[in-house]
Amino acid sequence: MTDSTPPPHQPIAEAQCVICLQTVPLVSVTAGSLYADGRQAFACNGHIHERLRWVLAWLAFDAEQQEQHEHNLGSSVA
Amino acid sequence: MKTDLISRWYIDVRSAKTSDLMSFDLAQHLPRRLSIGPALVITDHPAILLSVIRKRWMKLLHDIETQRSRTLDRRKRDSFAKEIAHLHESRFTSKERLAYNADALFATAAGVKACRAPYTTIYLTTTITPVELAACLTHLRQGGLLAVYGEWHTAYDGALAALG
Repeated sequence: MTDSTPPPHQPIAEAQCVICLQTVPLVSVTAGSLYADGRQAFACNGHIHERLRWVLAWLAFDAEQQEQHEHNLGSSVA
Repeated sequence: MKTDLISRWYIDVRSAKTSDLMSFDLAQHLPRRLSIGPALVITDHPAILLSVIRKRWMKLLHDIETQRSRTLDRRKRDSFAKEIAHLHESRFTSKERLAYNADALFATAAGVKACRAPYTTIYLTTTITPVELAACLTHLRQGGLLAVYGEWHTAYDGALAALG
């Protein structure tokens, strides 16, 4: 993931957890890395205690976003 | 977690009943945040906390190397290799004179004047004054995360309002 500047964000009340994919109140999540388009990604606070699942799920997410980012770059060049 | 009143930053008040739980949480959280930009960790004892986090970091590195060795999936192996490189390359310091070159600076609240700006994440592991919080927040990038371990003190609201 690159060190991209996220866009100015709007107040949000809920967020989707990138690990369990549930939409949960913002109070239940924490901020991790970014989506390919620069939006902030979140995961439920509870998952941080599942040590390896936390790590592996974020790695899978980052790899997916990197692919998306490269795909977007390819599309914009074409 | 919440956003500040005018949605410049995310604010995450994280519960950690012991210093051990706090360092576990921080060591889990930090790699993802460092993947998008530098972090500032405010603590009363920078060198000690840095040493604890480094030990946990090395354990994490070992676990990911183990995972990599166990998978034949090329995509997963690439992802693990990238993370291993990221963990190896992340530079930590508790010396303010080296802050310009570090991905994570561990500093006291009084030491933030010397820090590199802007940070994507600021972790508060200790109670600081509203004036010190305001000084820290001048180093936090828009859209960044302020993670507070322990309580959110009502006096902090004043610091946020003053910056508004």
